[in-house]
Amino acid sequence: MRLVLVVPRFPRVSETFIVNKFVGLINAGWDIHIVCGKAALDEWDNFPPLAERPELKARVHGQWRHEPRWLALVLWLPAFLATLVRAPRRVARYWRAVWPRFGWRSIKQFYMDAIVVGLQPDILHFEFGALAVGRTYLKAALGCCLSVSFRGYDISYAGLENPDHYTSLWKDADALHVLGRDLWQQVLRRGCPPDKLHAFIPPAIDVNFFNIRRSERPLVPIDPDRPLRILSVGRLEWVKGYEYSLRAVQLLGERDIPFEYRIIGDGAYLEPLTFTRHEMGLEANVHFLGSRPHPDVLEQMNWADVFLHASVSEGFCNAVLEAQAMQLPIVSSNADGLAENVADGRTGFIVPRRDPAALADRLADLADDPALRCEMGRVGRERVEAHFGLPQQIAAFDRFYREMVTSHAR
Amino acid sequence: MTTTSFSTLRVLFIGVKWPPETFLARLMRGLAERGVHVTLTAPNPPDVRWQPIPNVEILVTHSWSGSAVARFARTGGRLATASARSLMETRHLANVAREQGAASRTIENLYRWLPFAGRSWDVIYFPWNATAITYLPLMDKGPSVISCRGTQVNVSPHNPQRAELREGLGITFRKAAAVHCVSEAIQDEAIKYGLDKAKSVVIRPAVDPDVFRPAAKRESDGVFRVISTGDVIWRKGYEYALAAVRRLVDEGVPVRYDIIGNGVETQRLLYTIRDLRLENHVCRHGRLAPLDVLDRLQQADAFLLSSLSEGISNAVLEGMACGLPVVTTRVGGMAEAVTDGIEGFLVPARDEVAMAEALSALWHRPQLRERMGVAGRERIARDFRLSDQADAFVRLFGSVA
Repeated sequence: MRLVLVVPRFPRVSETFIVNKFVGLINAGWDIHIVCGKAALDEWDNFPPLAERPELKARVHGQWRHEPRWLALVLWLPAFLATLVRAPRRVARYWRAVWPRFGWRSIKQFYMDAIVVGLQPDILHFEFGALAVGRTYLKAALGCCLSVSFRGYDISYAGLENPDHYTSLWKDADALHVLGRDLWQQVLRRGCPPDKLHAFIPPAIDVNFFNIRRSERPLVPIDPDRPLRILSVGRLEWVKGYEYSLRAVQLLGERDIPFEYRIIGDGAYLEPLTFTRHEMGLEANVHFLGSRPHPDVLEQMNWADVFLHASVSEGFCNAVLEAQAMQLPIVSSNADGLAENVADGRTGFIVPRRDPAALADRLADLADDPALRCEMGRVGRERVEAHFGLPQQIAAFDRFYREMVTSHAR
Repeated sequence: MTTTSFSTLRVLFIGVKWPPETFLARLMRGLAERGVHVTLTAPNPPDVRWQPIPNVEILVTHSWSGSAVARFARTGGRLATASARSLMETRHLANVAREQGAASRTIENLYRWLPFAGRSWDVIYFPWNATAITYLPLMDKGPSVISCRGTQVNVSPHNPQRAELREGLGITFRKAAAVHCVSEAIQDEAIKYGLDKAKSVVIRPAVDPDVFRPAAKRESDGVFRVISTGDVIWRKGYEYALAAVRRLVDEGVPVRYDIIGNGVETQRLLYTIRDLRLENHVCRHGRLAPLDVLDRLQQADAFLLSSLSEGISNAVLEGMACGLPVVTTRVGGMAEAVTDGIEGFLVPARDEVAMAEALSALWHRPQLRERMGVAGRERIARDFRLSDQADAFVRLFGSVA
């Protein structure tokens, strides 16, 4: 069975889960290829699972270049011939399916699809809902199964201005993968028929990479010499709700609880957030560390006492999983999948989104109680090992694709 | 045709986008009526949509775009014509461009500056801080005036990635003959970056009360109509406004909230409306034509400004001119336009509870709404008059020329 995964860019730090899925399914015997807008093969060695498997580079394919425009014109014929040689029957089928639909535009469309056509997939899988919009005709054009993952932004707010944004996707996709039950509710709210074949497969992490340096966090009391160490990891964007986490730590300060808050991540919201930090008088205890490579992130997780995550919208959040694997207690909003990610009261606390006072209350509870922090950290690690390990996830994907192919054949 | 005499003040407006923002176009009109000769740059010859203002001359300067060949050719052309006008100044600009380093920007900067070489004005006016920084060498040509309006002083200097702006503010404040601030609050901010208070002048914005006026007759239909106008960007704090509206709905107030404006955070707005289940209470209009905005304002019961930062909001002034009571966050110069309890309510930023309480008070007390609306309109007629603003600018330009 040949499975082709469509992603925007590969490999990518913020999408390490795709790296894990790719390597995991190959180990499970699947014939997988990745098609991406941009293949970043120079970053290959930064990913431990990939670094030891250089031969897999042959399975990653960038699109034919379409910038600058004249280059696309020059490369069109080579692209056509290369594809024709590799997959003559698929090319014929493609044109028969696409010409009535797009007319002369098929010429441009073919150039964009050439790589996928040449790979002759049995299953075509879009890793984000937004990527599949306007491309579901590929199912008929390639005669393959079509599946789509919904991971958060694609279902929460992409295309909200258009009620029919996903209509043809609901019709054409053979199966949907969502990260959790909350996201499935949103899929239904946006018009997907409830009987659509779907699977809940939460993200997974390789727990072997997440080893806390101390066997157990020391039971340190919080005082001015040893402030509460708070960490957030995530792109600096409005969805991450950093305005609320800044307000929450400001409230901590008003209660005379000493703290230091570090934020790892980069993004368009640096300016709003540095402004907010200034307005709230938090320059001394809030630090933006920028985007950091993974070992540094782990280092910071070792440093921290608490992981704070105030998102207003969130698919599931790998960083929160990783923090639990690093035995950090979590204080998190209830956005989307987070309430499934964190066991409220056991591995951390879940509070309503956009509620800085509630975040501050929970942070204060953890500041007061070192034993609780350690206990929640321990349970968090156990829970991640039991429910969010890679082997379970790969087995679930294996079942998902097999089930889809069987039901498609019926 | 205009005749230039020694008594005519000639002012160059530089860094104005095309077509100019409404408030700048209005200012130019006011200056022109008072005999000031204004020069304005445009990236292309103005088309029919531009209504020429007598006494306003347009200098066409193509923007730095197009293919490398085209840019190279245009730079050559500019060099030739600028040298013909003044070889010395052209040479000086080329030297400055070279010294400023940043190799890739040298040609681009020179390209920007050249159209002004060998020409002279009595005053060079930069309506934005950032353009004064971009066109820094032109400040040596003669007296210049800079305006501090908002974000570029209040917000961006805190961004660690905007060191160039932060330093540029100090340099340009030193070089400027005078600095205009839209509010006392922003003047205080600017002083932190090296503005000498003695050479700064506060001239608040103005609105035209003949255009923005209350509707002749309005009948209440039992719905509380709250309105906001402004770009959909983070600085406007719409998320807090929506949270406040959610509270009103929970309280049983029959509220309808109109948002007029467009911007990069439309998705955030849509998501939040949906997430707070406000689809039946919030109406998003996008950008509207000025007359339609007026129409919406006239149908509203209260104006809401949820901003996190402002120089001073023109939108609020327009709402007040239309006789609307205002609920605004106490940011920037807003307290200079609204006195808490008189023309409306001032609430802390990011405080949806206080915002909802203020709106609720307005809903439950129609006479209060009425009284605050009248007070707001009077305030505009007293303190935010177009003629005062134009006179103040003429005085300001005259004092430095």
